[in-house]
Amino acid sequence: MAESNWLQHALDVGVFEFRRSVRAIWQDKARTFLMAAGLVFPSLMLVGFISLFSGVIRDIGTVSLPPVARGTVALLWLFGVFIATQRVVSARPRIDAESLMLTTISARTVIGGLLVAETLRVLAYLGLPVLVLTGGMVYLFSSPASALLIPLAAVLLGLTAVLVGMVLGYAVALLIATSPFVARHKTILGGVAVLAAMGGYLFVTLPQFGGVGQEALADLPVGWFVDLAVIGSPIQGSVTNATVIVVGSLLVVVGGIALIEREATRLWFTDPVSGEEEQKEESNPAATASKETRTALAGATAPIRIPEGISQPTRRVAQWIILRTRRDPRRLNFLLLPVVMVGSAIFSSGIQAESPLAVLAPAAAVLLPWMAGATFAMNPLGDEGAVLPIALISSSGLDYVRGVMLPGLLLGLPIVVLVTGGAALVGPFEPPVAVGLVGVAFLATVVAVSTAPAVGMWFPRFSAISIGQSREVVPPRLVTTAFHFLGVTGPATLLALCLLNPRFARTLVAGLVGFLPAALLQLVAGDDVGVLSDASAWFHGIGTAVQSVSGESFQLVGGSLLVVSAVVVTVLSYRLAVRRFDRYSPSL
Amino acid sequence: MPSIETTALTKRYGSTTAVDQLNLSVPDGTVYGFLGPNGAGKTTTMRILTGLTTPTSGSATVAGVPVTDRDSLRPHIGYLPEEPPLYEQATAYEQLEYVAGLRDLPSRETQDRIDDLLNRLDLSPNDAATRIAEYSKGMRQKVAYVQAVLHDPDVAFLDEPTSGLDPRAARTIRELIGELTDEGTTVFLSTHILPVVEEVADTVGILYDGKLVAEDTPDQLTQRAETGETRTLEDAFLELTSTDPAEDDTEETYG
Repeated sequence: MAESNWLQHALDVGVFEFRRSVRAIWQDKARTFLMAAGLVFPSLMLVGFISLFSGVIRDIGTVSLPPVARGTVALLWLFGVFIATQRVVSARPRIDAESLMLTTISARTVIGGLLVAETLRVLAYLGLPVLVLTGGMVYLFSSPASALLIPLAAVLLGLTAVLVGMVLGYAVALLIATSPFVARHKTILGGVAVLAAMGGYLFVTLPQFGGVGQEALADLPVGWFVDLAVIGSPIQGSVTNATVIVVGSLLVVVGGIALIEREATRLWFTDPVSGEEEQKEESNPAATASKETRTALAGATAPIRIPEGISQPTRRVAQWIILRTRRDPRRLNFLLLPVVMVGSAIFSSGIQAESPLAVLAPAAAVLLPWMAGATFAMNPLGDEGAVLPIALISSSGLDYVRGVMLPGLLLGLPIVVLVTGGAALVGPFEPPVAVGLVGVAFLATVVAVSTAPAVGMWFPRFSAISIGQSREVVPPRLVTTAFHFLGVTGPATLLALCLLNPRFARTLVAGLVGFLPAALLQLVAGDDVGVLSDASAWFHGIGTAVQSVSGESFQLVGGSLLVVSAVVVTVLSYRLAVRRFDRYSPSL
Repeated sequence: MPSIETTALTKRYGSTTAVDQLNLSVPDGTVYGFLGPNGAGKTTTMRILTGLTTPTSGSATVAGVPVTDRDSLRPHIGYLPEEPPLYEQATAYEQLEYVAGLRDLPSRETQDRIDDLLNRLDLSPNDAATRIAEYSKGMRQKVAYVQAVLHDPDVAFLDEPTSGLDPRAARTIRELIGELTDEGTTVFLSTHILPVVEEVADTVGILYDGKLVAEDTPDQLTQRAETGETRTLEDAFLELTSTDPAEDDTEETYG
């Protein structure tokens, strides 16, 4: 049973936790700026939209709430649930200072506090846009009810999404804590779950790919928050839906808290099973036929096998890197940002394309190689942490760098080639083009895998960031990630374009190396005639020269140059990384 | 009635027995020194007694409350784990006031108690208003200690309370432990610093491989050591926790 004033304590805990989050973000100025920009920019867009079209909007008069609006809100809610679930499972299955909290307040109070904190975080993100929207509705339609109901709808949406996400998240965390199989394969299972969620998202949002469209979600009650928000405005929703969603939300809050309390109490006071139990059996020399070919590391990384022909130091480095990645997948969070940003852009272009499937293979050939390289080797020195001095005196640069590259080549390369090949087969490509795309993927993967250690070692990051309870997650520097991403995907995109549409590739290169600098210089020079103007003319000449090359010639020459450059960069990066490791002096 | 009482307390993790048939009886207002080498089961025992984990079998009560009844247990106990449970983003004042609020302690008296304890541990108001992220290990330990005893618990579980402290602060903690027991608090003290136990403990229990292998006053335990004239608690500890008594002299460190 919880203490009598658990609700007040839960609020205290929630506010305290929220304040800690804000302070942690505030300490990272770049993160603060990005988040602020992410909040302010769309709000300003909304303000601009409302002020520009206020007359037109007012003239529309009374309209029915379209199903797509309900569907979009339902999708937003589902997205919120997904994020909340993911956060509980991967970052916050337990509260910070657990021994303190659980010997001070009840589990229900802790859960209430976590819920309040998470809801406040959601509202911090939604607050400004919701405020602008509310102000806009009141201003446009002189609707005082909107001032109350839009924020209420937003709060209920956020609260219920967080609650349901937490229910699911704690259920998954409990499963990981009690099932050895799930504990051992949580990374793979988590990956499958994320892919399934992304697939579901695309299925709903991309009817061009055979999806159903957001309207299909209009009948889900979680889309009815919008019915509540539009009461009092000329947009006609359903009052019944609005009533149901308010009552339903309250029921979800009461039931959700009770359910999470039971799940979390079991999770926090249950001894978690170890995914390594099966492993111990496997790696037990007595249980294996050949003691010489089995070690604890080999057992722990099973079923992934590093070929015996590879030298032992290289093999051990590779095994450790695979194991570290498997056991601490949170360090891979940095992969998501560029993939989501560029991936969504590619899919958007795919929607515009004649055949949406045409975009899959090129996207795979360009994006997956970068992931194969960055997954294991983006911050090798920083990943070693306090063990770095030991690594430096225990291994040669040659062995270490080869070991760092090996997982990307052994695991990443086959996956990239298979996925690109599969996508090329289902896409509208002639066999030679499909083979060419696979070749692009192969080459780009080799480049990505070999350049990641070099870039990562040159700009290592040692300072940990806090992800949930872990104080030891050391992601690569943002600049390193961006540099490597652009360095791999840029040329790979160009090579793929040379294959698919050489004339477009030619125009792109002409623009990038000729017309764009020319235009920028001319912009700076204005009407003055001088050095800048001359330089602009020179760049323009280059653009014109490139543009005058025939598509076939550009394909041959440009493609060959890119392939040769890739080979040179691969060799140089490898040697650079080896030298960097051999000469590195840690300042720890 | 004993403050802490365990009967055949056992905790197993899979095939490993961390605590094996532990029987303890700690009287009110005394200091119980809980010793044992690394991995002996001390922390597991403390986690069971604070309700943070459940025993596999056996039973235990703390301040007359079964340890499985966590909600009733919480008001009676204070816990200082080996790793101080502090928030990096908070200051000491913020952290302590926050915890005091969660325990519904009266704010005026609590404020005075916080100031008094911090002052005695040489943490200045300026230090206490600084973020914990900037603290040394010793400063963190001091704040965590204050946090554990702030509400004047019936039983205080202290895991390595003097870890990382300078000699002056360590002495202050020992004095504070004495004051706690004078006020009726029972202290369950786990530490590797044997002179601390010798100085403050009324009774010493030595845990080895999950089993209680000896329990007596520090003086009596010291008398058991068979190492000649220079008999210390350390000698007794090494004898009692050695797998092969003949190898006692080769042991250098015990945690």
